[in-house]
Amino acid sequence: MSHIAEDVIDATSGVTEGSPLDALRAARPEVRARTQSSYAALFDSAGSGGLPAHERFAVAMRVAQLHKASTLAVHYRDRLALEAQGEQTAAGVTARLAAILRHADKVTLRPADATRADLNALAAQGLGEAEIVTLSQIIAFVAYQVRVAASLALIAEFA
Amino acid sequence: MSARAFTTDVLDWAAWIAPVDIPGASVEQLTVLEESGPHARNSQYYHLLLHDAPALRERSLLFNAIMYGLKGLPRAERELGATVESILNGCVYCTSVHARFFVQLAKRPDVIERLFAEGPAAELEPRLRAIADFSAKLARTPPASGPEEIRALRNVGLTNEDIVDLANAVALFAWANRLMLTLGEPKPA
Repeated sequence: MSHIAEDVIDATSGVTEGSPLDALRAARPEVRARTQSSYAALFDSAGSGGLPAHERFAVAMRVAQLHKASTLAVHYRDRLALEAQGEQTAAGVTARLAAILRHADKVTLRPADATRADLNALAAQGLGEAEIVTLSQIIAFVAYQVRVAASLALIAEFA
Repeated sequence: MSARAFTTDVLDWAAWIAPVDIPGASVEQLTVLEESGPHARNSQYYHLLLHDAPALRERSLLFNAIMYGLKGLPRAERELGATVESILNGCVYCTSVHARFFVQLAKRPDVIERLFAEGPAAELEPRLRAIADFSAKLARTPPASGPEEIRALRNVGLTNEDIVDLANAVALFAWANRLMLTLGEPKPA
């Protein structure tokens, strides 16, 4: 695979090998690499314990949607669909997932309104401290990711 | 926003859920804590994030690359972008740290005094104005930065690489503000 295919921001932002955006990102190799390795730490290790993989992708999709970041939302939707294959989905959105998505909405749209009670609500749905930290990292990481992608698109458009 | 008391004083931060207990931490957790630097050693924020040590490790490396990278946009101006966004998001803790860094690097306490008193729309010289405007727009959800802000940054001399450096700093604080605001709260040091 090319370095583009292996990098989620490149792949979802239409960065092509040798393009001006590729060169622009290549000027900050550590930022590019650590952005991808942050993604990998949150999403590619999913299934190795902690927050279940389908919840990770569902919440990331929601946060991308709230930002109107459609290609990233599709990326997470596709990963969610792969994850959900063979898994029972009859239960639909469980009370636990609903609580997780509600939290994602608040952290994304009104983070200054968050209180201790919001974390208590997650704990009441069975989320332990480690799951709450991973959930928070995912919500906040996608807020980062969409802004990096949006800025690249803007620079490309008005080059 | 105006209801929040922004300061450049050194603050502490307390977690709302139990951080990792350091005496009982795993080797991986202790390694990541050590790698995170001296400021992490006794910080509840880092101890809390150690619940997901692999994510913290990558995030700390990314943070250093964006905020302390030697090339490109002057560090003070990355700190200004982080500060404007932190004010808009109401993150008193993040604001205190990064406004302080801006003052130390730029020797311009007047800029921060004006931002605290009047908000991100305060009168600033053209270069800082363009940086603050782009940062404020990119901080919104969904991001609202557009061609006008890009043009303004180019007009005050930023290259595309500089604009990416600023955008990365603002994006990074969309992340940092949300962790700081939703997992605990600031308290006097």
